[in-house]
Amino acid sequence: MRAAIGAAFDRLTGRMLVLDLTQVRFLGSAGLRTLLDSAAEAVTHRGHEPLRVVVDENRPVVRPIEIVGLDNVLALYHSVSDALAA
Amino acid sequence: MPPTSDQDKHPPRGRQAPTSLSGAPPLEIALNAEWVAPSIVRGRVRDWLAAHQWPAAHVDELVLAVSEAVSNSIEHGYAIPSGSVARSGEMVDVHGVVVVDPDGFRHVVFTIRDQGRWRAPTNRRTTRGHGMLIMRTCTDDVAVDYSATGTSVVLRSRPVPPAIR
Repeated sequence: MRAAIGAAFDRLTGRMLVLDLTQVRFLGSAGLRTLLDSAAEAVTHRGHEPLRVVVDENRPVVRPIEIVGLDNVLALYHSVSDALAA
Repeated sequence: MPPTSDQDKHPPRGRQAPTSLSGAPPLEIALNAEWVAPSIVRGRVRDWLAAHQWPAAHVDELVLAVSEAVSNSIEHGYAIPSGSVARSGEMVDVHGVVVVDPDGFRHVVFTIRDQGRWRAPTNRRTTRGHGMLIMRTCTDDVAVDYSATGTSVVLRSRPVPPAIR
């Protein structure tokens, strides 16, 4: 995931990055770390718009995000179209 | 020393009517300390709990907690670099047992053991900090025991109702 996000950042050219996690079946502390780092990197190092993360009601992803309190830090959306329209 | 009758009225907590093992076969997994291990463990734990008719929402929480303990052993206990193969003799053991409480409710106790080094989280925002938070949130109790020869993490689940036959 870290490599994919890094590659996407390199090709953004000013556009926003939307991360669709609705089909992800597991998210643990390593994945949470990557989300947090990527969200910070988007803004502080790359000067991009904040990372937008699509989770919908996908419990295996939403639950860990809520446990560690990242729902207050990450911009979460129900769908890719919601994220793009926001 | 109070009379015996007083002791009987107020037995110390933990010495009340004994809990018993359910008689169901325990879960025993021994894996090389590789980055694929947590994924293998998640599948095995999920299947084992399903075989014991564990409620689905509880299964998700326990799978998450055990996975974090195994990941912690690999990433920090053994400090295996991402993508590298297992080093000889570095193993993670996962043991699970169902315990029946005196009231018929059941809980499960998972023990995750490695021979690596325990590194306490330095900060709640780190991966290790998140891992501990996940383990504590998804279980009733987390106990970490570490020494020069390795680390064991014992996760005790929340109680669930008796299985319906």
